[in-house]
Amino acid sequence: MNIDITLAFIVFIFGLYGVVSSNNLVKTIIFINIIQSSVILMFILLSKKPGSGIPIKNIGFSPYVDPLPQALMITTIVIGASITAVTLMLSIKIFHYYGSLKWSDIFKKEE
Amino acid sequence: MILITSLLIFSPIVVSIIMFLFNRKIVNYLAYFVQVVNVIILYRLTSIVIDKGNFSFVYGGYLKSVGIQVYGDIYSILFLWMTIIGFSYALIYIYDDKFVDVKFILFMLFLEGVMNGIFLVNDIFTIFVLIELATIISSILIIYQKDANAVKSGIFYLLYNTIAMILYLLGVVFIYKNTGYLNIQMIGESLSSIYNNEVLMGIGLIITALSLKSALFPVYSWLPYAHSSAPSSVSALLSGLVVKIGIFGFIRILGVFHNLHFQNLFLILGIITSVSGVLFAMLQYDIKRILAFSTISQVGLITISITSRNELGFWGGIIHITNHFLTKGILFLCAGVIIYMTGERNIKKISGFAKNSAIVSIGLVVGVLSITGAPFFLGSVSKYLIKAGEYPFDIKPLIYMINIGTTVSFYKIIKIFTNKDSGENSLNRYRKTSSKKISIIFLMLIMLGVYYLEVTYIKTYLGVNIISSYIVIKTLGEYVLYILIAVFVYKIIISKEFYYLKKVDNFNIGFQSSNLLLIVYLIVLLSILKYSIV
Repeated sequence: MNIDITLAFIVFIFGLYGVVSSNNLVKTIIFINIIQSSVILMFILLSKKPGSGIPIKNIGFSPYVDPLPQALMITTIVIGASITAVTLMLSIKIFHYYGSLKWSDIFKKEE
Repeated sequence: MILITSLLIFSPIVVSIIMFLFNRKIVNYLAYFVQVVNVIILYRLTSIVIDKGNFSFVYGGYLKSVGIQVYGDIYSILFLWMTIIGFSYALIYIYDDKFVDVKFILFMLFLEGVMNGIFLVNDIFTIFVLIELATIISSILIIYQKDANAVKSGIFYLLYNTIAMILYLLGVVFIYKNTGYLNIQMIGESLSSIYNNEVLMGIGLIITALSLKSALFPVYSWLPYAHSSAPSSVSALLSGLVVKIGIFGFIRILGVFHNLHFQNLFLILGIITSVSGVLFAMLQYDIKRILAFSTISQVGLITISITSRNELGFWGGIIHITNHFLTKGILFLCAGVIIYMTGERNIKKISGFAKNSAIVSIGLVVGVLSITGAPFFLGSVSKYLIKAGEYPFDIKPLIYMINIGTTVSFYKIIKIFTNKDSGENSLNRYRKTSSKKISIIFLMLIMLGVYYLEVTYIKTYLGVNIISSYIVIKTLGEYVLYILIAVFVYKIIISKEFYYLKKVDNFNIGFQSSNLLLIVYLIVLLSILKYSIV
């Protein structure tokens, strides 16, 4: 495995740890964004090969970068942005109802 | 071909946008018109698949390896019919709901188009995009009434499913790195011999994500929240249809890995899921939570049966997907009307609706008889076939146990007919419920038709006559036994309400522990894949 993909994987593990450990709703949303960015980074790094050029026909690089991951990742970034928007909107509502953004307060046992 | 398939996916979406832009009462009838058009298109597609076999094409004339390929087989057709029937009854049901406006119908129709897309596309990345879209739209539908409980469930559902889908995307990364393809069939072909660690890791990640979508043990903690606090029409759709996305993914994506044998893994997952679902369902007193936990146990049953080595069990599972969709639909709709009329969700306190609405009572009884497997009802057909399946060890005692547990939890629901009428909530009783009753009648007629179709097709293709006297008497005998044991269990254990049982009743898993469970599940799954399957 390359060094850059390993670094992206470390970011992924870090984000996963953050999702499990953070008690705050907004922090959870931030950590989910971190995980998603690390996966996007990994996918884009896949297309990189040493000595390859831009994938445009007329310029004529013979080993060229795989353009498909980049096209796919734009879609993923858009999805991530929309999920962040919806969850932030919901966290406003959560604060309105529960007076707190802590998971332990939101999922308190009802007696 | 391209035109009619695209119409199936895009006509609900385009119509929903038109409705949103014009926002007139007359334009809202377009929603029902779209369902009629889709039924006609789907009838045509069904005849194509039955006559000529599977169809496939690529949008925009690209290569199969880079374009979006549409692929329809018999499973796609089945799930497409379920989508259209599901959204038809939901749209009829919400016709006179007060909270429903044009935006709610916009999201409903958008979800319909997205679901149609999921069942037709054939590459793992487009499936990811569409499942994410379906997740966002379902969570908006869950929180639509904006009460505190619904918002809590909605955000739990959205964040937890998003994490799972990121794991799915990581799996896509690993598979793309090793094969260079996204198309499911081409991945299967190029992986015919080698399975290195990275590919196994990718498959493990995808299985984890789809297990969460289909609510397998131990990653189902989102389901009781989401399905019990959504509006009833949405609960019916989520329980009947959206949960089955995961099962569809298993059939379609894992079906191409011929060399890997997932049967034992899914058999054990299914058994644990259904047993735990049934145990929790027996101890609940909220009517919608009982139905939600019952969904978990039925999904487990489906997972067990699709691992069967003979055709009878496998097709039993596929038929059970349809049967559970219709049955859970009618149960959630009836529960919705009951909650709407009496304003009460606790089954100990619901009273006095039976006198005022015979149709809802009949619907509830039909649903309960069907899900517990009474003869001449839908559930009995698939449960008989599942028991006839061939598994590595004898699982009949387990299936009897699951059926008895289901009977106990639905015996509790049936007991609401005997509750004394307190007369407190007489005001709500005269609310408008005519469209809800129409949708329940519609669903019962569909169930009758599906029962007829199933009996004929099982006789023709699988060689089993479900309505022969031997099978009917056997099913009836078993059913009476179930009821006797269920009443016994209820009287001895459940109705006593011991302290520890009450603790279990209140048992909820928070968000952080759910994520921990997800990661533990992922690690266990990866080690199983590494050391026992290859």
